[in-house]
Amino acid sequence: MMSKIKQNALPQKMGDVFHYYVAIKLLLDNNSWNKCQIEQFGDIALFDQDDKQIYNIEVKHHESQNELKIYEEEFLKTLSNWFDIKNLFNENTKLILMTTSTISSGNPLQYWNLVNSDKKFKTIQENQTKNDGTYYANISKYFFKINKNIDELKNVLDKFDIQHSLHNILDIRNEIKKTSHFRLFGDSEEKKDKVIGELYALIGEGLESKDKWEIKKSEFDQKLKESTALIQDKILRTNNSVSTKNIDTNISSYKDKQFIKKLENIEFKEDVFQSAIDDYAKTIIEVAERMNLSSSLEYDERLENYDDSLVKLVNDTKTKFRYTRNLTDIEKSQDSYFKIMDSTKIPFIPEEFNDQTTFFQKGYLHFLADDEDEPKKICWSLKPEDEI
Amino acid sequence: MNLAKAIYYNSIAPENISQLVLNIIKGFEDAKIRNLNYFDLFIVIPFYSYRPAQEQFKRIVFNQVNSFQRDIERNPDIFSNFSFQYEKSIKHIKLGILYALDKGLIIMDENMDIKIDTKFKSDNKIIFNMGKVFSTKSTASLYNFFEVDINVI
Repeated sequence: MMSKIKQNALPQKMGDVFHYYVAIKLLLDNNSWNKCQIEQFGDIALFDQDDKQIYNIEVKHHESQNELKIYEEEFLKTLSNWFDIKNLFNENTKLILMTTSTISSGNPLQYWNLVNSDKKFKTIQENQTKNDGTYYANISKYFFKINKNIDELKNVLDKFDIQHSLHNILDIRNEIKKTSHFRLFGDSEEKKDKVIGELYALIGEGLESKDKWEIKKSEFDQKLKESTALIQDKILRTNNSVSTKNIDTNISSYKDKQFIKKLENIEFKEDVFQSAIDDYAKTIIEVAERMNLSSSLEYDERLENYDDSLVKLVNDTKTKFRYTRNLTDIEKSQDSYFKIMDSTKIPFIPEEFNDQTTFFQKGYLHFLADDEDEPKKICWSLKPEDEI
Repeated sequence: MNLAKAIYYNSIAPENISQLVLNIIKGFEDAKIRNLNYFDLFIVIPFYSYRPAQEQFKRIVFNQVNSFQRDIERNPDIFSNFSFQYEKSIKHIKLGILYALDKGLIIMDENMDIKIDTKFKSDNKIIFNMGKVFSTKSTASLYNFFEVDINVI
């Protein structure tokens, strides 16, 4: 018989995952935030432009059905934690306990969100003892530490709302899919799941160090904006998109061009020239096509980014070969050139194009190598005299 | 400049932008609601360069009832979330308008209303239709809707 693993961490992990989904839903539902911090001042804290907390949220996830009770840690510890950081709040801050626990009819917390802070305070006071008149353990542990300063406690209670009976993980994903942004994708569950996955990853990427877990609104909006690109089908570009019939690819027509001279400089011969010229010539046609297809008004910055990424690819590869032993400078340069040409493709304006061509990146690299205004921007040589 | 950039700058050359302007004017003329204003162009042309908008306008079947409200405001998911990179486009659009003025293709009056001053048959249905739809809304409301500060123009 298989023995049961005693320590199952899944329930805790489910709580974490639930927490991220709650964050995604919050960030989608609200527009006035500027940054969101996770696990720093509470589970989720949303700040406005002036760095004021607009929401501070505690998230509680229970795997099984659970009734929220005043004397339980879930409620009292949350209150006590907020009390401890009360100086970070201003008059507009909202404190929300979001929990999968339920509040049934007859629960003293039933009308919590509707009553004022005096009544909230009274509700806790009235429910702090057991039937036998003794105090609940958590009341002594948490409430007695914060009920000395009643005015300040009431200030916190005033901001404190409860959202209960929240859905489980699968349900909250469906809730997210119902938000207005996701209506864009109609019935395409696949696209919706993809966007949720990207937002989920963005939440994770915000974790920079043990002291910083932050998501900026600009990054979140950018991700959403990129996701709208999913509603359009990308333009598929293949080698067949380019007809090579009318292209002049004679070496003699290109021999004076800078990109050929750079190849000559590292002692390549006509076989390499020819393949470079083929890629270069096809890429001219392909670039012209892509610029005509649409929205080229906004390509400016994205072209810059593509250029920069290619330059980085070249420099990184060259650096690696610079430290290779037992090769002459020419051999290093040639090996590094082939390595660069065989590199994984950097997507060209990825929101628009599905680039399946084999020549485009290579041809584009030769465009950059051919730039006479910036002759040093890309060159293949690792000879010391060429690198000064 | 590298060749790709050169091709890019050529694609957004003033001459090409001026052709867009002419198509927009034709759209405004066709709708017969109001004149095209200089400031409209800084909304319509960036909108045209947003591909989802192009796709959407490719799909719309045009008839009497098309309007900005029907075709754009009621699709907030597609359009209002999108922020144009106005600062980048403005320069190109200005050059395009100047080109059209300089070549005598258009005339502009003291209210900055623009009319066509050449024989021209619309050759770009998408931006022609955008012109029609945008003419159903005043210039000021367009700036409000897209939350653009007119002072940046």
